[in-house]
Amino acid sequence: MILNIVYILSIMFVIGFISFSVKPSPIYGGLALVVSGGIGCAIILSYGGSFLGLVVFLVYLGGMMVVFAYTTAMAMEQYPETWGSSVIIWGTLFLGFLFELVGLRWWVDYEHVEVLANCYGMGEWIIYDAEGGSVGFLNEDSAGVAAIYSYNCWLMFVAGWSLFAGIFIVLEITRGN
Amino acid sequence: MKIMLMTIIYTTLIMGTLITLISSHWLLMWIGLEMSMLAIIPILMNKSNPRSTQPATKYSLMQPTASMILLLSIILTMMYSGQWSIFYSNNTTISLILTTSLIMKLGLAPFHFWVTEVTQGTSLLTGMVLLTWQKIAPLSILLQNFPTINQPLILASAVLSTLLGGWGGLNQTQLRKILAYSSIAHMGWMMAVLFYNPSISILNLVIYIMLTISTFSILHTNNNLTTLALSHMWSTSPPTIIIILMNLLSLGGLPPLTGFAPKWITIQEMVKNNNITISIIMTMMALLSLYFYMRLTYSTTLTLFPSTNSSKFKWFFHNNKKMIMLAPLITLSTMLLPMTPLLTTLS
Amino acid sequence: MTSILFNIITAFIISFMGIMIYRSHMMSSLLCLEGMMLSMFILGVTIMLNSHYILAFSTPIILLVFAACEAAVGLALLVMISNTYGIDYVQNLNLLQC
Repeated sequence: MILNIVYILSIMFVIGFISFSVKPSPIYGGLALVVSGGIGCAIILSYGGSFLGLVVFLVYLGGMMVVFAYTTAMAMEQYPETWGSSVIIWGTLFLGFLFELVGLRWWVDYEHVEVLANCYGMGEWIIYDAEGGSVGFLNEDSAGVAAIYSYNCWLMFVAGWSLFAGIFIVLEITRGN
Repeated sequence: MKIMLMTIIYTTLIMGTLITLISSHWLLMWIGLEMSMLAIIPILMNKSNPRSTQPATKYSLMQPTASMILLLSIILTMMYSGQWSIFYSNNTTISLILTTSLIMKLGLAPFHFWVTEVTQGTSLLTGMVLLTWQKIAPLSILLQNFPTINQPLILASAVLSTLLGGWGGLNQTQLRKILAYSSIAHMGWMMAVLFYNPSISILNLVIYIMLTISTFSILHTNNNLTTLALSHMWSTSPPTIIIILMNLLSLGGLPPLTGFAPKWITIQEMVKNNNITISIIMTMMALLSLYFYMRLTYSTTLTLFPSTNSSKFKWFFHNNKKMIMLAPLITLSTMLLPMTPLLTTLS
Repeated sequence: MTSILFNIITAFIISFMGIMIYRSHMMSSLLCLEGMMLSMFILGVTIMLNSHYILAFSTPIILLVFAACEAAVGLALLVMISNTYGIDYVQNLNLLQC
């Protein structure tokens, strides 16, 4: 059985998820989430979605994790729990690994997979024809994301309204007392 | 400034539910649910005290989880059918996931614990919004996809929620918790008939909303939060206690009042579909909820509770709160049963 | 393809179970919510890239927007809770039980 790189990446993705789902201290949990987010970005990249991978890595992890780290620092105890510091966490982590291994074994038996190291899904290109007679190529996912301004503009309006209302909602929540 | 803020928040709340109601696209439905979920959180924290963060936190941990599960079912639908529009799929996994997420959103039986706690932590009017307006959007999704819904799961959940809604309320003295349990039981009745005839489910919802709004508004005008406060009400306004008696019995579904109509039609429809066992079980469970409504009316109307002398002079303080639409709502929620023959036009 | 999808859905289920664990910080629960969102993002993008579904590529961005809104509300509530109770353990949220 030949494994390809995406398959190994997805197993690492699951392991990252297990390690923050067993709830160690949020510092380490956030670290695990960042790591598995980076691996997820690599999965997307290897299927050819270069722009969306960039978005999830820069915007999501970059922006969100700063805020998360800041908030974690606010509510933090003196001795944070790591994965090894409690029997519950360690046992759950171990169980999670076991679950993943059994699931993989079952899945491999069930599917009779023969995963080949293929590199076909390297993204598709769109040919565009501009007015000046110039012809060029555009990656399909950046074209699809750009469609939010034309084809999906009402969706963008609704999302923008929600972000706008989100600011006021957060202000209203924290304003009290 | 406060009024502008509240305008934005309430607009988002109303717009979210409306987007869910009018859309035939899975993503927009999800967006509408998210918007109404985000907008209700500052409303839950309306009166700011240390306790008010708790219902908001519980709500904001519960509802995003449910909508993430809904998103999983949406993406799986997209994977199997290749389209985003509502599509009646026969895939069991998708229908199970979809049903579970909507049960979580509505607060039906296996996931009903957050409903009572969130309702208990808020004010009466916010509880009213939570128990009426917030149920419309998930129910509309259920109604639009009722062939996709997993029938055994939804029936089991319906029977369980009529049982637990009746059982949980037995031990309560807080009125908001009692009304939350009654909401769980009514949701169970709605879910039971959903698969056979969705229009009866809509009728059930409409009558439930009418009854709940009128009960909450009566309680709000006198600011009653416990059974004790309700039992001292004879000194402030004697007509109200009769109205409360009628309203609560109608909520429980006694025959000459409006609340009997949806139960009657639901039972008839279920028997018509040869589902006698479940309808018998649910009727028995309705007795449980009727018991605690009866207990409320007993302490309110039928007996005089011992009270201190000073509490008898509460009539002296004039009550300035006004609820608009209270009179027509009470009339509708008690005297609508003779209009039941009109329902033949529904089906 | 299918085994990778299986792994991503497994990741989703694991972080869902993580939310259901009633212990430790509320921050960890929020991290698990973010993890559910992340796995849904990756699942959706992977499926869309595989089927070349160009006009749907803007939906993951919308998902990110709403995940950001949810995270913002969750963090604001976390700040309020740690102001009130000193620490954000989920076990402390028990005032409203009966």
